[in-house]
Amino acid sequence: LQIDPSAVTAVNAKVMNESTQDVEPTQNWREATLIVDAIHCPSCAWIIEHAVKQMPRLNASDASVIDKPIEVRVDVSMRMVYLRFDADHYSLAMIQEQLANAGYPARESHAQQLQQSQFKRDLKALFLAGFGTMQAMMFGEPLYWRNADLPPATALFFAWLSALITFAVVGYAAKRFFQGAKREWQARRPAMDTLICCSILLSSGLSMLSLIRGSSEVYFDAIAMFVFVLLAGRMLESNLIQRARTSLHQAKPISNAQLELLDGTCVSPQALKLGMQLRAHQGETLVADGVVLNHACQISTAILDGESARKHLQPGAQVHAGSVVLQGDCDYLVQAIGGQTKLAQIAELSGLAMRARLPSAQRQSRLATQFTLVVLVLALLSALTWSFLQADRALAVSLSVITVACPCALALALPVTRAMAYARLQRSGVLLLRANALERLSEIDCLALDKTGTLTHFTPTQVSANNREPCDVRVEVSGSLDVVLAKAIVGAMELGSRHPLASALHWPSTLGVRDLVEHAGVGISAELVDQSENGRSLGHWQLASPTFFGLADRDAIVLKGPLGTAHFVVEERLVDDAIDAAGRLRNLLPELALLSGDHTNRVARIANSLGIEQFFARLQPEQKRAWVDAQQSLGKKVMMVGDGINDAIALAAAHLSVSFAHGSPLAHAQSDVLLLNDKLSNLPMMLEVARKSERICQQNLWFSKAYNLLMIPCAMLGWIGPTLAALGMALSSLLVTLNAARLLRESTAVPSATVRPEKTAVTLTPEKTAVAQGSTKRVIA
Amino acid sequence: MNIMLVLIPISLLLIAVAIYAFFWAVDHDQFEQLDRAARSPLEDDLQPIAESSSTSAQVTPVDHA
Repeated sequence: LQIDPSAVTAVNAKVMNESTQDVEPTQNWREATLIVDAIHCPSCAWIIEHAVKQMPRLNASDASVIDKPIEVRVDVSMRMVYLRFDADHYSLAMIQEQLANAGYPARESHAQQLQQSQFKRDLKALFLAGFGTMQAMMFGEPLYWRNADLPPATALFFAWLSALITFAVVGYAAKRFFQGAKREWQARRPAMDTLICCSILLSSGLSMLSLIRGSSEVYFDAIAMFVFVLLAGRMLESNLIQRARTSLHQAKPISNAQLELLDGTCVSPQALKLGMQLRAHQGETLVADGVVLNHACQISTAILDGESARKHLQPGAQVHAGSVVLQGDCDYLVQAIGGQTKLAQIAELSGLAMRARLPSAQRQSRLATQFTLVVLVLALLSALTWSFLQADRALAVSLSVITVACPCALALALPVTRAMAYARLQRSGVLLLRANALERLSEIDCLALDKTGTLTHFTPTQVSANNREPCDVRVEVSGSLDVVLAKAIVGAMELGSRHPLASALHWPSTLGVRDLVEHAGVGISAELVDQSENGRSLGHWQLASPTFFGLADRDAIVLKGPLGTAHFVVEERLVDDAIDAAGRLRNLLPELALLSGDHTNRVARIANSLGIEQFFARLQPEQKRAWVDAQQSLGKKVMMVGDGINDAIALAAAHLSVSFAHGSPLAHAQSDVLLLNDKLSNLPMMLEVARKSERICQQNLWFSKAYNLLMIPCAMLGWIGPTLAALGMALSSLLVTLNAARLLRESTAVPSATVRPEKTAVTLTPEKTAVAQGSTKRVIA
Repeated sequence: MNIMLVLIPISLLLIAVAIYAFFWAVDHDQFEQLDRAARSPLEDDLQPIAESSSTSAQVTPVDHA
């Protein structure tokens, strides 16, 4: 792998610049996530933002500061409020109080109780509405037949009973709609709850009026049914969003292995408790936050802060879950577990895309408000017109118009679909890190893959428990160097390196390293010391490609030092599902390319076995970037998949970039999508889900537009009665939600026609010189 | 038709009873963890003991005799 160091520093500088923009000068900034169950439409987001922004602040002595030290973002689909505020001026309790006053009781995202009670309230309301609907219909039934047997007095009695039950339903079950309408009214942003309440009030008022006049021309059963179907829709929606939200919180890259306690016993991760004393061996990952005990150790915190330098920790130092032990055992006292660890907090933050507000979602919110106003005007106009034509029908017609119009379908179409797509991707270990990553994902028509670490890996198939030797490496030595010493030297030098190749060279070593320098894209150099002989120096050693040392170009890594040279021939194997995934990707995308910095023969073999026609070997990072740029200047939307630091600048250039959780932090910083596991089948799955969600978004939007354009004029003409209108509105929003829920289904259109080759891993050895034949290739050598 | 005067109060009473019963059930967590209840007869009685002593990996059966 060859990298121009200056390019990497340039990318590094860019990353640094981006991150420093976010850092505020004051130290006291705090982040908090609140869950607000009352959020159900985009205008709620607006109300919450204004409520928070208008809050009086503590210590407001420095009135010169105009902009308030608080940031708030509301995610409608996830019902979450993300806050960043200066703890000198605001407290979380203050913000929660302000939100509660605005009608939005909020809780911190890790609390579970309120959620439970909300679910129970919803369940009771739904039952009452459903049961009440049936009773109201039962009592209303005789009124529909109007046969001579039924004396008018009895009919009126039944109508009164129907009214009684319906008012119980409206009073209890429809409470949340009235609360919503009140909030919308306070914010002067009428939306769907306003329409719902208008139709409920208007229809009950009309029915009551005719009841008092002694007529049994009433709509009570329709009102109860309206409330029931709407509630069912709301509950379904919040249930789906809840599922999406929990899957987001489940995304924690922690393994399931048994943990070793200091006293030698084992414990499962689920049974881990505060105050336990754990031991993590070299190479293992810490599972909890805590304090180092007993003796010093060296750890890498790359997953937490991207810092690749090893850290020497003395007893008493803080450690965090996700850190990897590099040298010595790490004994630590558990102080925070699960959701309280720093790692979990980072994982929560990684729902970055959730936090960013899409311009299209805001457009949607404005549209819903405008739509509501237009509907109210139309209802008024039709009432006026009908009062001239047929005065007794005027109120009923305007009631139908208000009831049939459904801005909810419009407002729900986008956020619900997005939430479902996120949940689906999250469940398979795909994290979307940037706003509109999903939209961009659906546009992709060209895919560029890195080879090493993406399509192939070096981890051996089996490692015996006590012998950690990877079985796929051949070592050829020359000079006075022997194989054991060569392995020990490389093992010491590669310890802590995150390059995928390094995992194959992790031999246990008692040697120590001094002045270790990683030359990006070239190799590693260090001075080796023998710790068993009082730090006797073994001289200066370098690890790099053969061409670096002026040796014959071949498929190996060369170790060179005072005692001689050693060639390490690493046999890489394809990721298990690579062939399957490549087949599916070929069906999905017109263009597929393999960009690698590796040896031409190797790249050709891999490309051939995967059926990828375009491949490029021996590429420098800038050449990868140039290829991506060239494709994009042709109007293609390129998705780049890579994991190494040599991919970082190509990732930055691509329309959408994907990296792996095991990859380098630099690659993470550039990526829009993070894959938490190594499954390549996630790539075609991702594309399928994104395209499907885009399709469903469009379907939902078209459906709600068509529905409203068709039904409102019909209602204005008096063709649709209030009962039918109520059914239509409730069902249309239910349909939109159910359509979006299709995304959650596991099988997202796997074409059955795809040839599935045998699943065994294909080992590619340099000996098998079956170099690609037949298919056309363009090779940059 | 006079039977109505008896039947309707009875039906209203039944409605009230049904709603009360359902609300009681919801309040007493009868709709929580619906899957778990179906499995509970199959679970060992020793389960709570095993959970309480979470630190030890192996659980020795308690001799009730």
